[in-house]
Amino acid sequence: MSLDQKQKIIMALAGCFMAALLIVAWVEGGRQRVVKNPDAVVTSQNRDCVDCHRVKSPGIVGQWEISQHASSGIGCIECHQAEEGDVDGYDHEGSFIATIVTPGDCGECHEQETAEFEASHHANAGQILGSLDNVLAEVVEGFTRFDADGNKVEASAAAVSGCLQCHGSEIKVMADGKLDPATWPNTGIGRINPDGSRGSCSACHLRHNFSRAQARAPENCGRCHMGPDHPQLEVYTESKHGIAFAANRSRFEPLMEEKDWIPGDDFEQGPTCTTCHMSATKNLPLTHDVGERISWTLRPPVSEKIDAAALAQGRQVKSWQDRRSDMRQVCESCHAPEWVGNWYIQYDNLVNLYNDKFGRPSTELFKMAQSTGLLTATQFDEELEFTYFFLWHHEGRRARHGAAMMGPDYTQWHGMYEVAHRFYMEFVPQLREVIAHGRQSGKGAAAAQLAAKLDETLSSDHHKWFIGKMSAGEIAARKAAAEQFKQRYAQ
Amino acid sequence: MSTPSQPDKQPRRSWLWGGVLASLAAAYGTVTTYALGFIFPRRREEAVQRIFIGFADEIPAGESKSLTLPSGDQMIVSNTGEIDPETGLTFLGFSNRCPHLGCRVHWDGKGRQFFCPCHQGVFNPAGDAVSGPPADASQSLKPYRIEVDGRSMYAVVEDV
Amino acid sequence: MSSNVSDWFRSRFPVDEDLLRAAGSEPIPGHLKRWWWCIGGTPAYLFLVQVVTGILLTFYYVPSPDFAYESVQAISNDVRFGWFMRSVHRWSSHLMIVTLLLHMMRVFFTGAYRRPREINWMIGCGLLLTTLGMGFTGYSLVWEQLSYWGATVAANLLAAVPFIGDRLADFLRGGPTVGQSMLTRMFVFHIGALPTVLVGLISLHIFMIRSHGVSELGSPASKDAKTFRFFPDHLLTEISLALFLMFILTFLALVFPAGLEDKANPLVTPEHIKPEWYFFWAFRWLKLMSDQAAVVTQGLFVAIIVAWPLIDSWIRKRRPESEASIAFGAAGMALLLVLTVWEAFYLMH
Repeated sequence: MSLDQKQKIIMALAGCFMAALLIVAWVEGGRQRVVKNPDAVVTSQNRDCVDCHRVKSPGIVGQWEISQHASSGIGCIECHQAEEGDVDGYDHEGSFIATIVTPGDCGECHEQETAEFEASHHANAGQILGSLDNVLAEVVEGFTRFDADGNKVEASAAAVSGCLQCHGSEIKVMADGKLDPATWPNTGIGRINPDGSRGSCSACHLRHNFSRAQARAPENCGRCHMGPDHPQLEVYTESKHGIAFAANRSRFEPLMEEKDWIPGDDFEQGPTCTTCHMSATKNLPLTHDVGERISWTLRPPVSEKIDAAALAQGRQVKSWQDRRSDMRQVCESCHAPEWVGNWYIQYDNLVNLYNDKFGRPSTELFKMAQSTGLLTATQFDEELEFTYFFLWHHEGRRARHGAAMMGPDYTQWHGMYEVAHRFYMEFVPQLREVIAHGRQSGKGAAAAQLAAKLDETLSSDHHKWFIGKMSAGEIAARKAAAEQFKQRYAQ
Repeated sequence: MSTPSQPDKQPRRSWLWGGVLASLAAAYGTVTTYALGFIFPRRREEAVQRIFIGFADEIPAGESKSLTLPSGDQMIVSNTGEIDPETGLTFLGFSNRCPHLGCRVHWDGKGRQFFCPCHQGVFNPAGDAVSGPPADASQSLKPYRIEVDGRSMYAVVEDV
Repeated sequence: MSSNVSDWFRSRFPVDEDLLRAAGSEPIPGHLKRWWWCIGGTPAYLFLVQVVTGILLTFYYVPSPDFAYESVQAISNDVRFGWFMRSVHRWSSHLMIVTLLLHMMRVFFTGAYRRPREINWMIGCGLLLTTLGMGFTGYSLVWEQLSYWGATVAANLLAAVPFIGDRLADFLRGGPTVGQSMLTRMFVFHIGALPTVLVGLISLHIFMIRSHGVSELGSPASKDAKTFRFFPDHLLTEISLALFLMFILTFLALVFPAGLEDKANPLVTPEHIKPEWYFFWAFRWLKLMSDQAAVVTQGLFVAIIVAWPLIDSWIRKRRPESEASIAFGAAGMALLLVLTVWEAFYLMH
């Protein structure tokens, strides 16, 4: 190779090197560092609010200061500002504001989340006036006064401090512009707001710091999704998901504040409620419609697929198959498809068992007792009504939720065992009493009809053991198994 | 291999040598500047912060809005009504401090200009002074970058 | 005007210009026009790159377990061109070892270690071992999980050396456990002791090459028999190589920038501990037998390589035309390759 050639090669190589260096400079220039945890920015319109409230209610200002809103200069006025004509707006130290910040307000910036939420079942939570639960709260436990025109003038404290705190009240602005104490304070998730919007974002995103980590924590959903009638938090805590999260929580927590918390990518185990029911995964976007991945509704006395009611009303909604498919995608971040498929079979089988053995029969029997006049028109004045209510509303749900979220103890001992016990030891005997009472009080035909239905039910394969009609073969097999068991345990 | 240099080859040879030295100097010189950039610590954290201005539909064409930035400077955001070819937005963001003697400038929607009431300085939509004392000194308003995300507008400022 | 300037320089730097010219026109054997023969300069140049980028990194690196990882993070994320300097430093370390091995293969398979160049071969082996040491100590400084646990494994390996094993392990760790003491001495080794050894050995190595002259290939009838000038011809070749390396390093830094795994956690051992790729062969060997056996056999292996010129001359005294060296060299390389690839595949699954 000649000298000239070498010199040219050198210049060419230097050119390549230079070009690569220019790309390096371009990459360096494009690295815009975003300030991590920047200080709160108090803009001029919020200056007075912050200065006064820092003294009067320092917690509020402190919460706000550590929020992402604060670092972008989004302060008090941006959220609390009221428009002319807002029924709950009032003048406060020179600003026209409203105390309650509704999804309508949050939705000014957070449009998609609000739209998804308003379409969800959460947004309907406040519309429970006709439910049995409401009867319990307002009539059985509490007292509601109506005026001559049928308007509610005094609310049941049991409802106000109990049910409605989760479900959401209907906010009432009194004549003097102040908020009715029977309806506020309330951050129930289905709250009906003065501006017509439904819901309360601060039900899950505690004000004023609106932390993601806090919203993703299981205790957050557990404020409402817990207890004897829908123990989701307890089931989750029992489950391996809950155990995995608890074991790794301190490692996860600082990271859960980040925007992305993708199962499989950002964390490898221990999903929380939001992970499965809402959050973004590798393939699915974030949704604030918590029903989007649910296939069964476990709420009613007899479970049905979640789109059944809508279809019956002729409405087009996302099919339960599509929802299950989405949920499966979440599961498959950590579980193999066959694992997930088999689990869904187990889940379906449990729900079907409850439906077939207890849910449907008890409902048919109870409805027959009601419709034939064997029960009084007043709800919850007879033992059978409470028994039936417990059966489907408490232990029936516990069993189904236990299966749904992998809490075996809830499925069994808090669940199906108690369902069975309630059914055989209370529901059936009490039904027999109702039948007997019916015969004695001149409703013989209805009583006979109910008795026949009961016999038919108890003679079915599910229940025939109860009336001593187990097949000889099965009896023998069970006896042999019991003998073997006794030999191992001596007692 | 070396060959005896011929007179007509001489100038080309030195050109090549010059080329070699120049390209080596350029390339290694560049990476040396990177090394210097590396060891000189940043004087200020060149990080950016996004400050919420308001909603785009809050500022109709011809109007403006002011806000105070964390640095203490006040920013004026005006809606010219015309899309600026460079940014693709109809909104402009400038410091409203007049470079002449520090008065606050206003946005004149009709005339599409910034106007300082103290000594009648006038600035065009690009922020450059076109008449009055600031124009005599060829001064301009300090620009701020605006980002629009959906309906929300943010001022992009360097963190102090 | 220019003669005044050059007079000024000449009187202040009284260099014997004839000597300079002679050194510059040193005849290089013609076969060095082949690029394969120029690989020797490559690790030397990469060492320079390492020194420059290494000094830059030392401006920001903190050798303490509480701050080491964070300081590397800061370099990667906050410092101007930090990611670039760190990535170049890392890639250059890989390339330095690769080119060093290639050079060694070239020297071995052309028999250039034979008399009278046996000592220089051994110096070269010393260079290889020192460079591997630089790689090991350098990686320990990042204080990632694999830094910590790799160091733990290395210390345990040393402890398996017969008789003096425990002393050696304590020496490596600066105490009974992997911690601050070890990090400090890794730092000292990496930026002080080992580079000094390298500079010394490199100087000695080059001096010996110049003294002996670059070994010429066997057959004088080959068309490469002619010689050519060091300056400017061979120098331009070396400059081309240098530029090519700079380009490759920049490209690699752009496309595969150095990343960061989890920070070292003494309480959590990662599922797969692995050393850097150039130690895969040793790691795999270790898994095939007891620690002691592995350490002893590996020591023997290294000793054989170092002493190869003597072994080779012993063989050829008995059978002058023997090509046993080629066979042994090929076998040794094949073994190393198999062990390395085996370990690599194991880790991938």
